[in-house]
Amino acid sequence: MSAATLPSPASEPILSVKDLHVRFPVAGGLLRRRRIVHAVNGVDLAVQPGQCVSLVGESGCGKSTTALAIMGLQAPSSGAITVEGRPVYGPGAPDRLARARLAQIVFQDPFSTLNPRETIGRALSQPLMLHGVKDRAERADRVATSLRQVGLLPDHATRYPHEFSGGQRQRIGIARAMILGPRLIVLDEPVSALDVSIRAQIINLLMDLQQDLGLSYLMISHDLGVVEHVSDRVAVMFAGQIVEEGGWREVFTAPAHPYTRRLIETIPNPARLTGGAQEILPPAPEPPSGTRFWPPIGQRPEISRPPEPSTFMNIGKDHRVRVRVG
Amino acid sequence: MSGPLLDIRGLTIGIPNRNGPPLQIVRDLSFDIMPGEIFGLVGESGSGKSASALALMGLNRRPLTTLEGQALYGGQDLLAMSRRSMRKLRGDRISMIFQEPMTALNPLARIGSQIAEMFVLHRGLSWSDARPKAVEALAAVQVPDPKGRARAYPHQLSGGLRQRVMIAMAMACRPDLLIADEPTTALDVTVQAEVLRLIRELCEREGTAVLLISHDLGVIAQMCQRVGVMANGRLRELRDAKALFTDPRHPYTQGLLAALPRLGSRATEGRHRLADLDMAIDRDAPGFSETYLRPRGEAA
Repeated sequence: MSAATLPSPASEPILSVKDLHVRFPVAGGLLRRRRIVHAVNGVDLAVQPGQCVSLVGESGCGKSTTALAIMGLQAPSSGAITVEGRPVYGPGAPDRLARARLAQIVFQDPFSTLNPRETIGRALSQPLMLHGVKDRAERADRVATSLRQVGLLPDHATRYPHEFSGGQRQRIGIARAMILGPRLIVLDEPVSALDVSIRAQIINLLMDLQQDLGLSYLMISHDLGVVEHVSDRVAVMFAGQIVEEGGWREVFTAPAHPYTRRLIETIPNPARLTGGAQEILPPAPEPPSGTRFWPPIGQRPEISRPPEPSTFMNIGKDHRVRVRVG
Repeated sequence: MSGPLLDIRGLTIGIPNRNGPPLQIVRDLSFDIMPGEIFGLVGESGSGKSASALALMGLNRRPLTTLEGQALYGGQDLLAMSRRSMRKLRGDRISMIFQEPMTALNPLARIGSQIAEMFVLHRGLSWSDARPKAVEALAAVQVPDPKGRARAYPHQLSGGLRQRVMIAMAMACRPDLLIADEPTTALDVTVQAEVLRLIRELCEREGTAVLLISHDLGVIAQMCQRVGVMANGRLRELRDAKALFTDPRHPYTQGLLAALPRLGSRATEGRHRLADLDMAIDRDAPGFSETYLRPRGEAA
C-alpha cells in the first residue's frame, strides 16, 4: 500500500502491522441496508525492540481498533500482524496462551479490568497458573517481584482492588501485563484517567521499565504532551488511516500534514503563555511536487465508503506523510 | 466596573463526621471574581474545587455538608440564601455547565424544550414564545441547523454538540456568572478548542464572568486572567495567570508544573524524568489538615 520504502531495520521488529484493514458491518439507513464502516484502512506499523511507538488521533479514528487487532481481540478484515515474527491470525498463528506471552495490554481504566472480589495476589498469579507455574511458592515469589517492579509492596498482594488509589491500580494493571514477561506491551491511554502528579509517576515508571527490562511499547493516546515526552516514533491517525509518521522530533518539531498541525496547535499549552519553544509552529512545508496532502483539511472522509486512493511518501530522512498524486 | 461580582470570604465546607469534628474538604477559601473576568480554579481530584462550585450554586448544603464563610453576590450571601431565592438566581444570574452533558440533560426531552424552559421559568415567556428563542440560543452557540436540532434528543447529538447545548442553556438568560466545571474534559482536543473559544467569545459579548474549574493547566493557561491553585481544600496560590505560569511561588504549583509533560519541552530538555511528587496528607489531624510536598521516598 505504501509507496515509501521503510528504512531497513537493524533488527527484526517486535511488532509488525502490514496493510491492516478492519471493517464492521452495520445495519442502518432507510431500507435497513447493510453498510460497512471502514474503521481501519491500510495501517502499517513497526515497533523495533526497546522502542516506544505512539499512535495518536481523536476518538473514532481507529487507534483502539488497531490495538485490539494487535492483541488478537478483533479479527482484521485483511492484512498481516506479526509479534516477534509470529502471526497473530491465520493458520500458523500461535494459540491464545502462547500469544499472551508475546504481547500484553494495559487499559485506560484498570479498575474495570480487575475482579472486585479477587485479591491482587490472585489476579496476578492466575496467569502464572494458566501458564504452568505449578509451584505455589514460585508464584508468590514472582507476584512479589512484579509488585516491587511497579513500585508497590509485596504485602499489597492480599488486598482487593477497591483498597487502592487510581495510580496504584494502574501500577497493578502494569504489573499484570508484565507478569508473563512479554516483550511488547500495548498501552491504551495508560494515563488519561490520572491526575497530573500521578500521571508523572506512571510515565516515569513506564520509562524506567522500558529501560530496565528492554520492553517495547505501542502507546495509544490523545495526549500529545505525554506522547512527545515518551515516544521514539509517532504515527498520527485520522479516519482510519495514518496520515503522518516519523521520529518524534520530525513529527513534533516539523509537522507537515495539516491534520497533525491542527492537533498540535489546538492543544492548550502553558508554554504558549510563557513564550515557550512551541509557541509558533514552523511554517507548513509544501507537499512533494505534484501532490497534495491527503485527506485535505476541513474534509472528513466518509467512513462508510472505502478510502480514496492516496500514497504515503517520504518527505524527510525519517518522516512520511499521506499525500495524493495529482 | 466597581467592586467584585462575587466575593468569597473564608468558605469552609465540612462533611459531618459521627466520631469527631467535621471533615473539612474546603478550608478558608477566599477569592473574588470581577465582572466579565475569566477566573480559573485548578487542582487535582479531591482538592475541593468542585465542592466549592457546588456550594456557590446552593447545591451543596446542610445536612450533607456544613458551610462556613460568605459568598457575597450583589450584597446577598449565596450561602445563607433560602432555597426559593436561590432557585430564582440559579440558571438566571448564575448558571453552571458540567463535565458530562449527557448526565446533565434530560434524556426524554427534546433539547429545544430544555432550552425553552429557561425562558419560561426565568423570563415568564409562554412556551410558544420561548421555542423560537431556544432556536436563537442554539444558533448563538453555532449549532448547525438549529431549527432541526431543536427537535433532537440528547442521545442523537455528539459530545461536542451536547456541550454546546449545555452552554446555550446556561447562557440563555445572559447570566452574570457562568460556572464551568471541567467543561471540556470529556471532549477531543480539536472539539475542546472550539468549545473553549465559544465560551470565551460568548462571555465577552454578554459581559459574563466565568469561574472555570479544570485540572488541565493548559486549558487554564489559555483561558484565564487570574488563577487560583487548590490542593487538599486550600487555596495555595492566587495569581495573575501569566505570573503563575512563568514564576510559580508555592511549592505545590512548582511541583505541578514540573510534573507536566509540556509539548515542545523535549526538544530543549530531553526525555527527562518528570517531577515525582508525593502528596503527603496528615490524616491524624482534625479534617484533612495539611498537605505538603516532598520528593518521593523521603521520610515525612
